[in-house]
Amino acid sequence: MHSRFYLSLLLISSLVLMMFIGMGVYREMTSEWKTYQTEYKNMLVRNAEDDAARKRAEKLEIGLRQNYVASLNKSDRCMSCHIGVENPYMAKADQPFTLHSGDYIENHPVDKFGCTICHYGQGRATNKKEAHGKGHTHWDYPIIPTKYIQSACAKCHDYKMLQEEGAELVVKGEKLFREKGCRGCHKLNGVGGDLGKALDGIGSKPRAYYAMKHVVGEHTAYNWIKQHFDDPRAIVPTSEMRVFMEEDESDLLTTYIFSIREEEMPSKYRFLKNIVTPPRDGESLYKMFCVACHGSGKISVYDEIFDRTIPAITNPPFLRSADNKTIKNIVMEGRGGTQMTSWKTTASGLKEEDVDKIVEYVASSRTYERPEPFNYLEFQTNIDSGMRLYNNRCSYCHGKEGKGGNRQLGINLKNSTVQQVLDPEFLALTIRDGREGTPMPSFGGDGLGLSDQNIADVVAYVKTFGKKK
Amino acid sequence: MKKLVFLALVLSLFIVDTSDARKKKKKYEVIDVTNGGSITGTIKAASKVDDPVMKIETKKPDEVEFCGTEFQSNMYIISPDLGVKNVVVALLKVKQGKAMPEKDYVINNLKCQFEPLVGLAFKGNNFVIKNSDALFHNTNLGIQLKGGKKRAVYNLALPNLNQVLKKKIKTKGVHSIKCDAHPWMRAYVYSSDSPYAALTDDSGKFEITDIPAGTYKVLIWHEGFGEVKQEITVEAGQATTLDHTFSK
Amino acid sequence: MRVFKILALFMAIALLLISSPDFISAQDEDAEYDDAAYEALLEKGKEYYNARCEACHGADGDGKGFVDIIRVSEKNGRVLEIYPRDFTVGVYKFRSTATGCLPDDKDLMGTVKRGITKSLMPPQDNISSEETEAVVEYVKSFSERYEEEDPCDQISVADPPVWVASEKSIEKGKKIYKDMKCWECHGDLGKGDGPKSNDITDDWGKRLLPFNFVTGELKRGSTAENVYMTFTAGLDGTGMPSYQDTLNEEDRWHLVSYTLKLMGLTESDKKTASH
Repeated sequence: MHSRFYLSLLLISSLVLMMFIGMGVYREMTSEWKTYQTEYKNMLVRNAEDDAARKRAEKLEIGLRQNYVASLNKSDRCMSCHIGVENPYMAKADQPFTLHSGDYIENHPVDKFGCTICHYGQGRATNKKEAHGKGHTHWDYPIIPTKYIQSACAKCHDYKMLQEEGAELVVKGEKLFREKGCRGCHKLNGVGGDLGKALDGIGSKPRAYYAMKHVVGEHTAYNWIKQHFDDPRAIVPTSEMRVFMEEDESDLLTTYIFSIREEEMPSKYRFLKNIVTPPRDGESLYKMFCVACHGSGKISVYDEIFDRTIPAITNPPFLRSADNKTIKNIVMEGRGGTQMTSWKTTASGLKEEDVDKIVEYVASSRTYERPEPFNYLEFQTNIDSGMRLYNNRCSYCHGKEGKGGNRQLGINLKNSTVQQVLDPEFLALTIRDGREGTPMPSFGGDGLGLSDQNIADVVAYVKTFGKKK
Repeated sequence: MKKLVFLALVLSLFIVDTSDARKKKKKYEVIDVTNGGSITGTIKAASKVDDPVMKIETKKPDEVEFCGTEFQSNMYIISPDLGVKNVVVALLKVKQGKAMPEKDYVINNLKCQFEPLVGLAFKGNNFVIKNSDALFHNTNLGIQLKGGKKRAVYNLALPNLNQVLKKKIKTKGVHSIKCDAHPWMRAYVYSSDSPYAALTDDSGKFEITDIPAGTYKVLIWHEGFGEVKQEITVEAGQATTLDHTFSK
Repeated sequence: MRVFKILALFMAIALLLISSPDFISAQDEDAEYDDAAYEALLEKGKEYYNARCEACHGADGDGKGFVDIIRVSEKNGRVLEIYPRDFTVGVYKFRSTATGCLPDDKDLMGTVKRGITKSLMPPQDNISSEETEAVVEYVKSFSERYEEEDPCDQISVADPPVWVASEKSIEKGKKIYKDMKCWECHGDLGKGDGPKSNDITDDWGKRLLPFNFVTGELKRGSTAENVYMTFTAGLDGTGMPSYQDTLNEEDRWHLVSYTLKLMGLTESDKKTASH
């Protein structure tokens, strides 16, 4: 079998193999980190202050540097390129040699913390692209953009300390989160609405968790979250998220989001000097859960995202006819078929006393006037007459079957809360007196001129919507 | 005999005026005015009023350069002996008189202002609207109605330099002109349905001539001082004086 | 002699007919109703108006009904404040007549039947055409303008040319949008956020925001013909001027193409949206 053919084949394949081995050896010998370390060494030698310093610089070893932190279970090889990160003489140098910014490195030395615990990225990689986790490197947690880096501080420190020690961005982000009503739709720690996804451990989610189709620029979790804040429907076309950012608010909130993590830091690392509990009075709870949809509650708007009218809940005429019991009922039960979710403990995780506080806050705009009672129960009602009146006077805003929405000004009358929970007396008062400050006109004697009997008939008819399918 | 009676009855229908369901305003009738009277006078102010300086606020940097940051409003142009300029004096509801002047009214968008600020136009002629700036101007002309309301008459875009548009003058009364792109721009035109209207000059003087004798209602209008209506009787061949003093 | 008499009689009758205002006004559409029929129509219109329209437009047609102000929050957070129309002034936005003209009756009837989805004026699609006519006559009666002015002719709109919304037409429209300075109010991307967008007021002195093409459906409807009519007739009473004298027909159709593209309503946009 010494045919020429096989011999040539053997020769060629051996040569190809040696070529590959050669390339591998070459690459290892001229790796990125070697270049940087050589340059660093030369810099030190050139700028050595005196002979002793130069001798020390010349003795510098070129080799892969690894930092293993046992308690955090992290091995970081970042120092292989970022050699100057702890060297004060490198303050004015360019990346990757430059000194770590601020005074963080003093309190967080590399040998005790490593790098990736705050900056993320792939610690064990030996070249820049894979270490930073960008592009198609298949690393789930790429390096975090510097503007969001403060999210890592919140993993160990309390907010009061962060405020004082210069990490205001994440503190502001946390405050915005509490005041923009995010938990009205998103649960955190089991408490919140359910229109959006729960946010527990959101900061630790890998790239695969996000649908990146519409993200502009690099497909990272950071870009997804920030762009979702700026325009929810650009990233998730069916989103009903109702949030309006000014200037840098989306960056601040993104910083906060990435501080919500699944894993907890070991107790040795947590440095909680102060116990900071966010306020839980009625107004703060209202801001945490209600503000995103209801705003101040003074005016009602037809919302194009929800495609229905959002009622005005701190509107004084509304509060005149709705007593606290009615409001609490609406809040607890929600309005089925609309975006108003139920806030019972079983549904939302809110404690009943918290709901009471919110109701009290909402009702605080109530003035002392009491309406004249309608005395609905004293009327004999005629549903047919009510139907005719409703179709002629009410259907063009509230819809033929009381559904509302769909480009109609009126709110939904068909949902279970209106049908089963609300008192017909309340409905009659609303129709008679209207709700000033909203598009609901007064239909009674002082308004559009319906008689009390007419109004009672209409209420009886409205109450039949629940029975129809 | 019967035929003549019939004919007479038919001819008598000439005289009957059958009007239809809606009213129609009578048009101005041109007649030969011989020995007409005239109205002259001076419109004064009770005391000197300072002419305010108005600010220009715009977000476009090239407009800040071109238009400036403020300008003299020229709302109160009052002579040393208190004569007010740019007051419209017009006879209302004149049914017949001399021929209407044939003169188009030019509105010029110049240097971020309308020129002239106040003027007189006569129905049946045209508005000639010009843009002499290399800026986007739109000329939004409307009549002032009762109760402070305004009704749009023409809203025309003139985006280009040297653009000229011609539109018929169909409405009467005090018209205000604005530009939506430059909110500080303003102008006023009094469109008269008879030739008997005048604008006071620098010393507050005006003259209206060749008026058929009779009693008329007069409108005296000024942007800042407001308007008054008065009655005046004109005698044939004589000059009647009409003076008025505005008090602020 | 007899011939002379008959001739004279004929001439008299002829002269009578010609000079009688009835004959003259028969040429004029206004004389369609006689007094009694007109009053009956107004009564019917009033009844309908009070049931369906009074709540917003007011018993006196001045827009000061119980509803007062309607707020619409757009998808990008901009809140529009919309006031029901004041009929006493006689100025209407959605017309098929030139700027400064009264609307044609068909324009008003169309608006009543279709409603205006964006401002939440409900459609009255379950009433007969007689009832619509009655309501329109009643609405017209609120303004003296109908007595003072003659109506104008409708602007005839040909069918949109085949090339509307084609790539080339969109390119041309884009250039016209830039040259005509539409972006000063409507913004570079048509988002209604141009440098002048905060300075515009309507004839009633209320602040008006320019249309945001990216999120909205146009109030009068978003077909090519509707957009074309807006450019041609202008929206009287607002800051949107008429471009009838500034752009020729072809250029206006190019602008329509670009507008449809900004709103995402061209054929290619519809195809990608169905994914």
